[in-house]
Amino acid sequence: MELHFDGLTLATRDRTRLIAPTTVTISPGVTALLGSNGAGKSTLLRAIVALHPLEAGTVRLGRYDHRRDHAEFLAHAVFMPQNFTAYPDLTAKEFLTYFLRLRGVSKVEANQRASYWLSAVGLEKATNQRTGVFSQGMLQRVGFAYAMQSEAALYVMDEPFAGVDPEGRAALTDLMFDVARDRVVLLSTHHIEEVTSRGAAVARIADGALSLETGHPA
Amino acid sequence: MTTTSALAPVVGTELRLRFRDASFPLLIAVVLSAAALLVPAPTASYATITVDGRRLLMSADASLTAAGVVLSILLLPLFALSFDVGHVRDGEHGLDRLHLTTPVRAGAIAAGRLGANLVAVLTVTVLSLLVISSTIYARSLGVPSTSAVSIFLLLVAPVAIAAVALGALLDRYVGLRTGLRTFVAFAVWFAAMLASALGGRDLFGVSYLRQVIVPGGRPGSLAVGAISARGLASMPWTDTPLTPDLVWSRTLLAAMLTMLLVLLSITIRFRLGIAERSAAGLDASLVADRAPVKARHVRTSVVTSGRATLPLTIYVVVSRWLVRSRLSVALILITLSLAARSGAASSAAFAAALAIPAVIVSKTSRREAQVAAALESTTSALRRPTSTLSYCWMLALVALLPALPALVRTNAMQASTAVIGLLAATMWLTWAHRCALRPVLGTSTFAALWYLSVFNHPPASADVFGLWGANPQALVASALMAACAFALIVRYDRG
Repeated sequence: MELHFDGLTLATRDRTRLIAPTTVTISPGVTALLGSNGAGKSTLLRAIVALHPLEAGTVRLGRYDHRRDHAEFLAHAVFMPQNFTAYPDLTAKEFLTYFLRLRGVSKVEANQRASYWLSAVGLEKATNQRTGVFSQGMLQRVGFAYAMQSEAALYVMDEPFAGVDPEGRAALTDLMFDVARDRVVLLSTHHIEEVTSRGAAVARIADGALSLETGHPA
Repeated sequence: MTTTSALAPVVGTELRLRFRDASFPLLIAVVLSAAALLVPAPTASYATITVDGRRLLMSADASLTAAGVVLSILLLPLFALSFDVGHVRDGEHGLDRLHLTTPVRAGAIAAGRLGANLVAVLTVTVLSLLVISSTIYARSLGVPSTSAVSIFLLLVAPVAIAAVALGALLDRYVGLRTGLRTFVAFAVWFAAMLASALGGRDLFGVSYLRQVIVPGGRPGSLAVGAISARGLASMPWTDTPLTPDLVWSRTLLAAMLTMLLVLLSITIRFRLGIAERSAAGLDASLVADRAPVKARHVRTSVVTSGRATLPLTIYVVVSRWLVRSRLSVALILITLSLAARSGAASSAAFAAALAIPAVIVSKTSRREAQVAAALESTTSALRRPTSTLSYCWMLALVALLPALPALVRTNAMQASTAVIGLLAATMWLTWAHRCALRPVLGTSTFAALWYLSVFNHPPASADVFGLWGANPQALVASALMAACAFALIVRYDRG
């Protein structure tokens, strides 16, 4: 599935224009979203999953419009917010299992997937620890597992590597590129070289316009 | 994702969160302790129900019924302030963003959480029933009959359901405003009690009590609560019939309240951004707050560190409190001055003074933790013996000052009880708000204790705020309460 913005126009809640009407299609693969502070990167990512209203235009994932087909859109998309947090009284596995089950995954499969992804992000020893004792770096890894385990068609990730050590970042980047072979991963990150050197496309917000600078091969 | 398939994980996770939350065992302990006290011994210095100024000599069934009515009255505000639908909690943890980006409908999450809350309150209700029945048995009154158990459940269950609904509404529509939340909960409680007392819509089963205590006639004066029973005459009460009218009215009430819960789960819409607004508010206030604090320390940099800076610290902290809670504190001070001018009893002044720490803590503690951290880096005075204890003592001092005229009018024992009780209340509120981050639990338990002490003429051993005269038992109870709160704070401060 492709992510398509048609005439997308974005403004802050006090109506300051962030992105002028834009039509862009993002193909499967990793796309890094760039822009200066306050350009609207996080707002755009939140708008894609309908956490922020669009001023105009539409966002579609394949045939699903994010407002008209809200539930179907969200069933195929996952959002990892900035500074990921979890219920401090739940273990990492319980937390991941809960959100998988909210997506309709059976209890047994949810347990298996949560265990697999916690190991994949390097938290196998912390699987049954409550997240209240986790560092922010560990929480980011839980967030990464949260996104990856959903097996969605679209991954919207806001600063997924913030607070993660360099080795961990490299491992998570590998996982992300593995997953992104046939899926859309749109992320904002300060570690831009680490993803562009692996062939990520670049979408840039500059001067109130969103443009796709380099795209994945069609 | 259907609504029904989302219910199981939501209910399961919510119950898990409830049972792991430190405040839930505390709530159970409070309720069960209260439940045990609802069956006073025939020679006890207090009664839970009096009729025309007479205490009741009850059978096992009557004791259970009486306990049911009193428990239901106590539980409404306590449950309403303890059980929410996770709106504020999710916002504070930033998890609203995750829930709102899952395909599951908000109604399913609300329904699951309301269902989990129902399971939790009914569990507490059943545990209370067991404690009360055991206490009745221990008092050699025998074992309550099945019909008495049914009456108990018919009396308490609708109130528990109403409390869950009220808690959900408060969480969704009042949110982070702890003081307002407590006020609304107690206002609803008061209105419900008034309606019961006036014989209107009866949520608590008081009308049933009226019918069965004096068959064929209405008792002139029915008092329910914690009532001093020294020197009271007594009258027997043994008959508690399970009338069709009671079954029908209470079942109908429970069904209507359950429908209200269903309606709430359909209509409640979770809102994004409570955490963002809260965080933004905190940041802004911190920026605004830090400036004068730093400026004052720069201006007084000639003052050396250590105890020499204590007066300055006290000045800074106390002035912040008074600025933030000026309106509420002003109202309390006006009450105090009116009490002093009219020569009212010292208990009125003590009762009003007790409200000061509750108001200040609820208005300032969310920001206070950050400001205190900033202050502690500039002065070591707050650290002796622990920063939170110093905070409590300052707060108790602020509350005591306006009550001083009343204190000097009373005798030493009552004054000591009042001072220690106020310090205990201050420490409890501070611990709940600043340390355990359970503001609703702290305020609601304090408010319940305050209400019972001020309006119910409790027995001497329960008069922990010294409102009803000098008594060594009250002094000991007050000191015990202060010791417990002290231990909680020291344990927290020492990690």
